[in-house]
Amino acid sequence: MVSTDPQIWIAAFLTLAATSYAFRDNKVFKFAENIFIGVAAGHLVVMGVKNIRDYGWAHLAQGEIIYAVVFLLGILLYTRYHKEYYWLYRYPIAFLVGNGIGISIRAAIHSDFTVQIAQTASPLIASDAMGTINNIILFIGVVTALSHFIFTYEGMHQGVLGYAPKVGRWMILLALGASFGNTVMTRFGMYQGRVVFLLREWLQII
Amino acid sequence: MQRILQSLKSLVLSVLNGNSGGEIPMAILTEGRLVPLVAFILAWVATYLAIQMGTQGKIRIRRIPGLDSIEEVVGRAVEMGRPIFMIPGRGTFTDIYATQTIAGLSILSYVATLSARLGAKLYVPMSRVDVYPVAVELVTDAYKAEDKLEELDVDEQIPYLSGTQFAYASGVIGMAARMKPAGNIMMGPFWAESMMFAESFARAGAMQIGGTARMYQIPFFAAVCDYVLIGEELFAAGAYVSGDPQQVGSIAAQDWYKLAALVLGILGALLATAGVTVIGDLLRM
Repeated sequence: MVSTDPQIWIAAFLTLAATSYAFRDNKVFKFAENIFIGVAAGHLVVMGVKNIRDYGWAHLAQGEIIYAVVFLLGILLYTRYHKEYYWLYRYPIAFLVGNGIGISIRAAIHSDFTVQIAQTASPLIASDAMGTINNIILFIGVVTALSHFIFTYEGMHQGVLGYAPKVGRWMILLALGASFGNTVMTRFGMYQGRVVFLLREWLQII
Repeated sequence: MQRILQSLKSLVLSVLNGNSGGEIPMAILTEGRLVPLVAFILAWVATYLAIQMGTQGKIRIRRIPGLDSIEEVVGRAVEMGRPIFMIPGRGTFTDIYATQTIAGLSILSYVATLSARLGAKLYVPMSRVDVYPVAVELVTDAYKAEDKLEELDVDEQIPYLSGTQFAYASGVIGMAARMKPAGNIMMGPFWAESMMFAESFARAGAMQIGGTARMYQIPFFAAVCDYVLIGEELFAAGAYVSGDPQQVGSIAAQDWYKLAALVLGILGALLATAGVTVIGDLLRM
């Protein structure tokens, strides 16, 4: 018994339309693509207005004058469409870039630097043989992979030292292979979810 | 040794927080973040020095194989009379991937210069409103510098597709299927759309270069693209092509941190194996 719910039919049609790209580009896929982009654009506008209202205007209306600065920065973004004052849009962009870099640095120093070194500086010998082998592989992997990413010291990639980056590259490729397999499995899981939806919700045969 | 470290930590925390054992209303420093602060200050000094050295031309970045292929991709597009795509990722300037976005934009500037010089039609589909104007300005400046501004149609060649991940992805996939580009360069932060792009452009017959520092997406680029820039190679590539002494200097500074990390990691592991955990304890302060 096929579903009679129009929402299910729309979802099923769009699922099949999107999947049809696997064969070749076609009008049905193009239709689904345009719907998706249109709906996303509409949703984004609504969310944008809602955010301005909830996180900006509501505070300003309560007398929190500092939010006027946020509005001003937002408005300045649009000056890029003005021939004479287009340069003003660089100020909010500079603010955004500075803010982004600042957040990156704060997180990077702690999580990508000191914590990583502290974890590497752990005993190589574990309580069991497998643990020890694991630790040694991890240690070699970290040290050699790190040496691969040294760009301004040519000596690191030549002579005896040059073996470390080469081993590091293999270590990276091994890690990437494992990650690839893992992600492909996840994607198959997602696709399986859509197939189950078609068979269970739409066609109702399972 | 551990007692000395503990005392040292307590002393520094109490001095900086103005605390004599009572409740701290708002600490300047929190436990476990003391060494990151010192590392941050050292990194700042090292970066400043490295930028000075970069400005004086004392630093050279080694050539990255994937970079040489950019010219090859643009040249291929010109020979085949087909367009080229450059996708600087879906990162913004306000998230932790801002540095990757900036590296991607540096490469965009380089690709735009090459495209304008050699006469390849460049497409840059965008998905972030804050990155969009910067991308437009970089491409416009590149065409202007090559005196080819009349060959650039910003609205057509740098379209803003969508801020929603898969809507943007479907838009790019559609463009790839219909335009059959000769080349595709993806540099910056990518998420689940990376495989969709790489696969779609491969089907369209494009030669591809992928580069990202997002570990989960590198395998897809490595599997499908002709050339791949792994992790930090993206930043080095951005600095290399921009020639900006500040970027080059910061890459050198990062190399210094990596060397420090190597030394501390090796020493720490060997000492910890011998039962001395001083380096690990110090770094956790």
